[in-house]
Amino acid sequence: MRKTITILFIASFCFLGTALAKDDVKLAGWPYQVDVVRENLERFNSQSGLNATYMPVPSNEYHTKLVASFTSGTDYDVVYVRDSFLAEWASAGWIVPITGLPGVDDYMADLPQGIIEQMSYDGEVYGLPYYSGNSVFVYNQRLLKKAGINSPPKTWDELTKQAVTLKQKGVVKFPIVIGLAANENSILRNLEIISAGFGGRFFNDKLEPVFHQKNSGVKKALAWIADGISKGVINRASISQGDGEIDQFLRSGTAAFTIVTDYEMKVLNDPAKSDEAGNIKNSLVPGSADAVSGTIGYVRLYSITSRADKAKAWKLIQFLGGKDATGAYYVPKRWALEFGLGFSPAPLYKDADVRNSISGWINPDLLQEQAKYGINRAYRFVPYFSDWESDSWSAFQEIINGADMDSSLDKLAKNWNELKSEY
Amino acid sequence: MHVLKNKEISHGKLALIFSTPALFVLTVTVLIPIIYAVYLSLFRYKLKRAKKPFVGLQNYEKILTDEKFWDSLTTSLIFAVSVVGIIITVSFFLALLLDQDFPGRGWLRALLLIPWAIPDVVNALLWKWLLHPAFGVMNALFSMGGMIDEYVAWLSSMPSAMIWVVIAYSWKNIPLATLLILAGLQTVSKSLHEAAMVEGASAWQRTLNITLPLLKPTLTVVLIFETIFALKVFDLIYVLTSGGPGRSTSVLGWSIYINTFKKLDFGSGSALAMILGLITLFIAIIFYSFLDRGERQ
Repeated sequence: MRKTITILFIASFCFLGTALAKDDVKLAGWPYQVDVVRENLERFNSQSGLNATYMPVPSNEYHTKLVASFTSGTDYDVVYVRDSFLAEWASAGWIVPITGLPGVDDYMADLPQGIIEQMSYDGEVYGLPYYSGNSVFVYNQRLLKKAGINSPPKTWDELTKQAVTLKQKGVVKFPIVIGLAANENSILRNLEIISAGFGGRFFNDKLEPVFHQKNSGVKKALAWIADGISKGVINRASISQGDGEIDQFLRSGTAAFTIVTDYEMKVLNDPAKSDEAGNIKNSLVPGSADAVSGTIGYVRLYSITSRADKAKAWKLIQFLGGKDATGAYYVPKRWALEFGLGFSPAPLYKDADVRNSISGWINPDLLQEQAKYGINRAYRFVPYFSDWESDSWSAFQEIINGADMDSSLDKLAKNWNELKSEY
Repeated sequence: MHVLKNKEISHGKLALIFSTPALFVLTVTVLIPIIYAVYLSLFRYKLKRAKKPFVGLQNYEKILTDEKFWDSLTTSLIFAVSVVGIIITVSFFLALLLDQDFPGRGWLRALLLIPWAIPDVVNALLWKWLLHPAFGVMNALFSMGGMIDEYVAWLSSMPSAMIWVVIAYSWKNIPLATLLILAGLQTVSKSLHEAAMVEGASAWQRTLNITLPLLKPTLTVVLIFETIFALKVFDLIYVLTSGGPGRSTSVLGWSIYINTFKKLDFGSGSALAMILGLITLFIAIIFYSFLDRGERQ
């Protein structure tokens, strides 16, 4: 009996030892293409001799669960970070800068300045990009031609006129759909883009609110949306549709215009997933008398947590967001080729495979042109932004549904100033 | 007296021994979290802030002077009154129907359980698809029936968003209430109905003067349960409307979620949860006192 217990004890000790040795680097991320991520990690493990494991965390709860994990002593070494979380996580010390690590300067030399700024907080860079890009305006060329329209709109007024034509000719009942749901990826982002097209911003360089001022671009954008809904050219369903959900309207041909992030164009033009594959084109986000166009950039990055073994975590981050052991941007290229995710490293723009691949579903020249109209959103990098943002969603929806614009925006501006003084 | 290893122990002690594991679990999973939430509610406990100072009742004061709280409370009460009214009424008549003897009664009772067996989130997703503005079955049905000219975005405007949230919630919760009322009906003596029939009482008179008075304790319990559940609603709102459009379906449960998990303000979120708990407790006490008074009479 004693012998059996001894053997069991030794066996369980060995098992525990093996289990502990397995997790050199723990990666946490939202569950996009879990199998591909795991395949990539297998390649990393074989190249590095380390053991990296991946823990998918549901997208909707990603922020909450990760924050809970950080505050209770996280187990993760490397985490996916949205640019909107960066200031919060960096200022709390949950993620650490990569400045000074071996090879960082070389990677930075390959990246555009705008992307580096988007990955920085307080002058320090906090990771390498997972994917990055811009929001784009898309239209259904087939539906436009059916209504006798030969080119996409250049201004918001022109967009309304084209939509009215499509509706009147019975081509589509609700020509425009825009993600205006109350969540991180929808209403405020799209308002930022439309406002930029009207020449407006939410905050000035001193992070003071300007959206509530007389004739602001934000007011023009809100008025344009409310008017479009009342005329029946913007689908009222927009108010309950979020990022990802509006795709369905384009793919089924029940809408002709929308704004999406660049990588979504791949799905919209995928014959296996879209009835309108090949008909969905990108063009510059419409402008106005005050601006040619406007868009917002995005970066999702890999960052090192404060609990990590920095050297091991940096190896994984280089593999995922930079180069693998062969010196190639293996993972970013794979995301671009197989899934159409946006990328930032300059060598990938010159890569013939990548250019050929994305040309099938997006116009790369217009995409590059659109990036020039990206607006600075430094206000998103203050720790109180997420507090203000979650109150703003319902306020904007109420304005679109008829609440008094001036008083609602004044309240939001006051709320921002109170939070700013509190922090 | 029970004998355990030659020692006699009283019924009281034995009961305590047997209930200790349950009490331990309740203490760890219910009592301690409640006490901790009360404790948190007295601090400015924002996860993003390094300092988490003691602020006494300031969180409560801030909430009670915030018009958003009163809006959410009003929305919660409108929701609760609507769903409880629908659930009790529909369940009562369904239970009366299922108490009758007819072929297929067993099947009908089993079918009734289906909505109740569906997890809350799945129920919400199901309704989200039924109500989809472009591909939803509801739009197709109403359109075929000539009730709407074009597809409607039900969850994007008021009052349709609230109406559908109420319907979706009621659909899910009617089965439990029906079962409870049905169980109550089984205790009503058939002889009372037979005697009333001999006296010439109609079915409606028998329901009003025999069934309803004898079902009062059961109905009160259902009323209490359903009111508490309705005031706590969160998952349906989370999936179906996210509190919108605007703040039109922003019930207290949703406000607690936004404060706690979006703004990461655990102090204010805990205070709001305490207030909701007290409101629920207050309503439950009122209902119980009615029940108690009824039983004494």
